[in-house]
Order: sequence, then C-alpha cells, then structure tokens
Amino acid sequence: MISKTLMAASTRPIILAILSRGKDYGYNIIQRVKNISGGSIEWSDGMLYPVMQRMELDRLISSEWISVDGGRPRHYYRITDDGRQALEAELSSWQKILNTMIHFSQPQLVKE
Amino acid sequence: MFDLNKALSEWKRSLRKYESFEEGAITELESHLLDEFDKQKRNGLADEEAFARATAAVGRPEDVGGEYFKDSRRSRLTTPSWQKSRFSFTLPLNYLKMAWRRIFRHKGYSFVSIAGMTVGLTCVILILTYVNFEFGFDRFHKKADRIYRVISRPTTGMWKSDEFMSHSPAILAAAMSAEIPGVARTARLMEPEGEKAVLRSEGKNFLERGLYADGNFLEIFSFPLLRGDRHSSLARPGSIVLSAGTARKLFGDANPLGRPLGYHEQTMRFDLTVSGVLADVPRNSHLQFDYLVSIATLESNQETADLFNEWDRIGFTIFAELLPHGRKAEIEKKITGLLVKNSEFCRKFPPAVVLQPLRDINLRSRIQGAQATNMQINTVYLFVSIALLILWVACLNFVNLSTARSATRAREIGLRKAIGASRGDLVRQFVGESMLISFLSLSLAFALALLLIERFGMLIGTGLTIGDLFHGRLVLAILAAALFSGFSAGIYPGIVLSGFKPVRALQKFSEFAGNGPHLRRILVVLQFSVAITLMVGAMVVWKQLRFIESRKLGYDREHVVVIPLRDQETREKSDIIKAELARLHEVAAVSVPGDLPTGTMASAGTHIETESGEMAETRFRYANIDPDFMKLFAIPVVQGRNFSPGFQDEEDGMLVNETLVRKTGWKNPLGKKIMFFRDKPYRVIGVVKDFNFDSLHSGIEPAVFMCGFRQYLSVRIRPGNTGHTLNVLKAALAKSAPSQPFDFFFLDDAFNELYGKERKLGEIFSFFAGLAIFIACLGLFSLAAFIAERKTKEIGVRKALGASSASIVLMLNKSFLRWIIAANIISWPLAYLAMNRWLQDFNYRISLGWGTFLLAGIFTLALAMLTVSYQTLRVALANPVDSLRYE
Repeated sequence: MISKTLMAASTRPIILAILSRGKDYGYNIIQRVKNISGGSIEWSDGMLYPVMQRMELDRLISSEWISVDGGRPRHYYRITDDGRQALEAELSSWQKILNTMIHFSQPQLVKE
Repeated sequence: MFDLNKALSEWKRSLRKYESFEEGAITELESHLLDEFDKQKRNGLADEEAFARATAAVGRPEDVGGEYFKDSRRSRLTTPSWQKSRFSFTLPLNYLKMAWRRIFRHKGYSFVSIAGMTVGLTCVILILTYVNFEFGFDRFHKKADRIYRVISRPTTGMWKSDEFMSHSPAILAAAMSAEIPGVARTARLMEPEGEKAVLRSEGKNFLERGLYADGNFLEIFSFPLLRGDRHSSLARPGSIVLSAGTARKLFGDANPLGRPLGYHEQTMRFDLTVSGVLADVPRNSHLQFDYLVSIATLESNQETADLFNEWDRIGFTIFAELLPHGRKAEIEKKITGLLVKNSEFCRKFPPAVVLQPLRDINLRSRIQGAQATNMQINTVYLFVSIALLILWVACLNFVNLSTARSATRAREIGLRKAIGASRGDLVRQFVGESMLISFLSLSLAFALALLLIERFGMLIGTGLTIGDLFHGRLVLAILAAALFSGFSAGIYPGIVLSGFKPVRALQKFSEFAGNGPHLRRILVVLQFSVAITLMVGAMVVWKQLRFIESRKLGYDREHVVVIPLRDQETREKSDIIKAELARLHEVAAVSVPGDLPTGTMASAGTHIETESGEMAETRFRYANIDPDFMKLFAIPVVQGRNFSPGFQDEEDGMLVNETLVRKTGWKNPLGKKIMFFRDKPYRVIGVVKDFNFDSLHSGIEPAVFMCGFRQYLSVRIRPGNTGHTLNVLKAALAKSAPSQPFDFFFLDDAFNELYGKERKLGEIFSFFAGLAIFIACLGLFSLAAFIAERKTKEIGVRKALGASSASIVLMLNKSFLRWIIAANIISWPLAYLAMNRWLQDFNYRISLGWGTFLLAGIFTLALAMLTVSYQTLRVALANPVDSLRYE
C-alpha cells in the first residue's frame, strides 16, 4: 500500500513521464498507471484533473481538445519544454533518493 | 427506463453548484465519465448501474470542486464558499466595519449602551484600583513574605476568638531571637503616649507622629533610607531617624545628619541627634510615622528601663523575620512556651500566640493596640460586589437593547445566512460588536476614572492617586473585566438572533420584534431590583446615622473644644491653665480629664465589694476625670455627690454609673469599696446618670470615674463667634503654657468620627445606588422609545377611533409600571435581610419599617414613569395621520 503522501508527491512526475512518451488524455493516463503499477497506484479519477489544470497553469504541460475519428472530443495533454526539464530534475531527485535508500538497505560487510 | 442524457445533465447541474468548476473542466469530467461508463457497460453492467459506478469513480462533486478551488490561482488563502472557513482577516474586519457603522447609524441606542457600559466599567476601574491598593499593603518590603507580627489573645474568656492584641513584653523579642531556631531577628516597636510628640528645633515646635523602634527595624523592613546607615542609625540611645518630609520641615534643605533635636512626649523628654533620613513612608504601609526614635533611648532611661526586663509589662509590638525554613506553627508554640515559663499572668491564663503575616495585617486583623486602624476584608468584598452588580446592570442594558432591536437586524441576519454565514459566524459577529462597544466604553471609562480617582479616594477615605491606576496586575484585571462584559453582553443576543430562519427573517422581519418580551421584562426587573436594593441600603444607612446623631447620649457634646496636653510640665500646670481659661468671657466651663466620652475609656477587671460585703471580681470601664468633668459635660449626679475640693476625696473617691450599681445589685452604693491597681481601696462617693461613652454600636457598660491622669484640656465655649474664641484661647494658652502647641479638635467631630465607617458606607451606597438607577433608567428610556416606535401605527389607529392621549399614555405606561412593581417585590425582602443584619451591629438602632421601602418604591416608580412618559407622551400626542403614514 503506497502512502497518501508518497502518492501525492509522485503524481506530477508520473504524469510528466507518461506525457514524455506522447500526448494523452486524462482517462487514458489513469488507466495506464493502473495497468503498469498492477493496481497498486490508483488515483481518484476526479482528483487528477485539478492537478493537470495546475500543471498547465505552471506551464509544464499544454492541452487541446481533439476529436479522433469523429468520436467524442477529448482533452489531450502534451509535455512542454519546461515540463521536460522538470521531469529530468524530478528523475534525478528520485534517483538520488532511491540510491540512498538502496545503499543503506544493503547488508554491510563485517571486517574480520 | 434509464435516460443517460437526463442523468448526465443532472450530474452536470450538481457540479455547477460549485463555483470552482469551469465549463471546460465539466466537459472534461463528462468525457471521463462517459469513458468509464463505456468500460462498465463492456463489463456487462446495465446502463443505470454502469452510470452509478462511473459517477462514483469520478468522485463527489464537492471534493473534486475543492481540489479545483485549491489549484486555481485566485484564492490561495480562503476556502471555497461551500466549505467551512478556517480563518480570514476579511470577516472580522467586516464585522468591525458593520459594528462601527451601526454605532453611528443608531446614535441614541449606541449612546445608551456605551454610556451604561462606561459608567459600569468606571465603577469597576475605581473599585479595582482601590482593592489593588488595599491588597498591595506592606508588599513593598523585600522580605514581606517572611515578616510576621506577634499577636496574642489571653484565654481569660473576656476575649472573642478572632480578637487579638499586638502588645507583647519587650523582653520576649530578645528571647525569641536567642532561643527559637527559625527566627532570624526581631524588632520591637512602641508608640509614644498620645501618638504624637513634639519635635523642637531652633526654637520651633512641630507635632509629629512617630514610633520608638529597635536597632534592626530598618534591616527587617525595607523603608528606603536616604541618609545614614541602615545597621546603625537606630542602634544608639538618643538617635532619631526622620522622614524626608519632616526633615525638610525642621531643617529646610540643609543636611540634617548629626543635628540636635529636642523631643518631648506626654511623660518624657529627650535630647536627640538625627542619625538618618528615610523616604516618606508609602501610603500603602500599615506602619505610618514621621520619625523613628531608637528604642535604646528608652532602654537607657532610668524611668523606663524596667519596661525592658519584666515579662508582665506589655506594650511593645514585636515583628519577627523568620529564616526561610522557619516553621510558623512550631515557632508560635515556642513563643507560648517562653511566655508561660516567664510570665506570671501567662501561667495563669496561657495565651494563644499567633504569628500574623505582615501582608495580612491590613485586611485580616482585629487588633487592639495596633499601630494603625485597618480595613476589613469584608468591606473590600462588599465594594467589589457592588461594582460587579453595577457592571452587570450595564451589561443587561446592552443585552436588552440588542434583543429588542433585533427586528431591525432581521434582514441583515437573513441576508448573511442566505449567502452562507453559519450560526457561529453570526454569534462571532454579535460578540465582536459588543466587544467593540465594551472597549470603546473602556477607553471612556478610563478617561473618567482618571478624572474621578482622587475624589473617589476621598469618598472612601483612602488617598488614591492617578498613579494607582497604572499597575500591571490592575490593568490586566480591568482588561479582563471589559473582555468579560463585552463577551457576556454579546453572547446571548448573538445566540438568539443567529437562530432566525433566513427565509422568514427576509420575508416578515417585523414579527421578530416581538421576540423575547419575557426576557426583556425579566432583565428590566432584575436591573431595577439591584438599583432598589442599593437604594434601600443607602436610605437605611443614612437613617441610622441620623438616628445616632440626634440621639440623646446623656451628655452635652456641643461647643466643646479639646486640646490634648502634650507634656508633663503642662499637665502639672493644668489647674492654673484651667483657672486662667475659666476667667475668659468666651468660656463657659473647663475640665482636664484623662479620658473623653468618645470611646477613649479602657476596661479593666478587678475586685469590688458586693452588697453582702464580700469582694467579687467584676469587669468595668474606667475613666480619669477631674472635679469639673461632670459639670462640663452636663452629666447629673443622681446619688451622693461629685468630687469636691472641700472633701479632699480626689485621692480615694470614685464615681460610678447607674449600670454598675444595677449590675452589682447595690442597694446603697455610697461608701462601697473598689480595688483598682493599688492596695488601698477606693470608696464610692456618688452615682452619675448613665451616659454613652462609646459609639452606639455597644450599650452602656458599668463604669467608674476617678480623679487621676490629666490629658485633654476641654473647654466649653459660648456659642457665637467661634473663630474669635479660638484665637482668644490660643493667646491664653500661649501665655500660660508656651510649650503646648495649639492643636485642638471639637468633641463633636470626635463623636462623628466614631461613625466614620458608617458615614463612608452611606456615601458609597448612595453613590452606587445613584449610578445603578441612572443606568437602569437609561435602559428603560431607550426601551420605552423602542416600544413606542413599534406601536406608532397601533396608536394612530386607536386615536383615529377616538382614544384620548391620556388613555394611550396610561396604556403604554401600564406595562412598565408592572415591571417596576415586580422589581420592588423582589428587592424589598433582599434589602430587608441585608440591612437588618447590618443594623444588628448597633446596640441602638432604627426599626426597619415599611416607610423606607415604600419611599424607595415610590421614588423608583416615579423616576421610571418620568423616564418612560417622555417617550409615551411623544407618541400619544402625535398626529394620528402621521402615525398611520409611518412605516
């Protein structure tokens, strides 16, 4: 079970990471996260959109309404250059955290 | 049949209730919802079920809306309107603005509320200042918490359990320091006879109040020493330490140290040297003096040296400084032990010894022979209760007017509620308003208190100054009183008014005007009950005082000038002085008694001869007089005769009063023997008619009168030009007794001083009763205005239908009349019980008849009717056409 705090902290990097692979819309982003995490990361659907709105206001992502094959119009988001930079910074930070955690979790050699 | 479009549009409507959803966000969420709906359908669910699951997955509109609100840039500080607000500066500011506007829009009502509250808070400030002053007594000494006064009560059965004397034998002090562990040091004090003594410097005499004090007095107490040495100033015989004021009076600006000073009190005369100067004694010290003479002066004087070696000669006040670990109870026991071991009297009647904390002396002691008369804590409590009652009456005014005026606020309250104000918000608003009024009143009250504090100090007989208002603890207490009154005045109207249903409040606001008439009645009745009770109190106190003053005491106290003789030399010459004064045309009679009939007679218990000839122990009061005493005070001798030079009986004769004859059961009192501090008995030569020699608190006790000590040169002057007569007396005295200062008082004043406490109480009661009535009438006035305003239309209709103005005034006044009558019914028994108890303290007292109560009732009724009638007459006399047009 992932804690609420960690979930909140990871939402923006995960969205940026997904969008770095190409544009996508909200419902699909949620489904992809659910599938890839095996259901362990499950966002409340309605709560994602305010976050995306905030990210757009922070110019990390941009959006447009697109109707694919004459179907229902969907609000597609794509990552901006600022967003990519932010993603790199996030990845580096997460990497450092992970390395530190792994380092201290490994068994220590005992000198004889 | 499930209709997806309908369900969708309902769902979207539910989102639109929340302002943070913009249309774009709603469309995006709709798209999400439909994607989820499709998925659920693919999983085989029916439309309705699939839709329900999809909406649940999206989340509750208020939660999602809250997230959007949080993430929108425009308001990071506030919460969405549909959620409970946390804290925002805007709302209290708005409340303040509204309250401020209301004060100016409704000037009349604001005036009543602010004026009432101001008067109430002024009372509280004045009284708390006084209380703070009284409680601050003797606390300026650094070791105040370790200084104790030795007080004791002989267990002879003649002393009440709470009555003590502060006189101890001088020798006890040294024994305490030497033999009782826990006692750091002791200091003895003694008053000169007659309280005051003459200080003589460069040919000028000054009559000053002082004390004999031990060498380490200045080490125990921290009276600031301006010149001299704290350890040695009072150590040597012949030293005197002056207060700065006295030093200035005697020596001007010159350095007084080392200067010689003549000193003479009643029986003794010393040549002293100034060894120190103290800052003037603070007002809040129970010990008050202009100078201190070293006690070593008395110790080295042959006539008084014995006082310091004998355990049975008391007359010194002993203060002990205990060590920090000193145990009070143990030390008390050891002092008793010392007394019982060494004093013959104490062996017979073991005393109850108590170490009385210095800080308790001012408010919690009933002491005989103490250096200063003190205030009783009950009086302080009485003042505090009166102040709180007045403040309460003022708060009731505010509550009453706020609820009565609720009609005018119903719309505002309805509107505030309709746009989302919670009940708590409204309560906070009302409390805020009353706080504003309370703090506005507080600033006015403080200004008033600055103006009044000195007058108030004079009224209660304590010299309060403006400086007394500025004490940290006091300021905090005053702020707390303002805060508390603001809160308590606002909370009730807040709760009542915030309970309005918004729709009804907006539609028919007038019906709210009628809310709480019962409460208003109760409040007015309570206010007037307090006012009437205080008024009856004031009336009873004044009536009793008048009764005392007009009561025949059995002696004539009019036109008697008393000059206390200050030294032995003058006293020895008293017969010559008497003869010279008696020759004056302005003088009717002269006498030089040792006691006056105004409470100076002491009491003693010795043996007197009974009717059967045995000697029995009896307690009586005694007075030293001279042969002219009875003539001067016009006290008739009813049996036997007065002292007379022809009979040579001044040595062995005694006069007794009728009460003594009655109590001892003498059939023929003449010639009966009375033992009185000597081996040779006195013989009764005459019986005088009973007269009151004390305050009328107590009855006439058995008393004996003998010729002896002379102290008070008493002169009955002929009525007429008093100023001239006093000048004549002064000149005559200067001729026959040059060392005697012309320091006089009228016996009448001394008599009135016996009732100083009662007079003070009467003045205070009147003052506060007046204030309570003022505040209550203020409230009644605006309440009457409000009711008259509400009934304007009704009165118009009545007049149009033929009602006379008089009948309308009567109709309106009737309800107020009922309230005041009810207030009288409540307050009469309360006032009766309280004042009856107060009167029990007097042996001679008025009976509490109906008259006082009726008078108070009629007075308040008349005052209330006068207050109300101004308003009711105004509406009753108005033109009905205008009244009917009124809305």
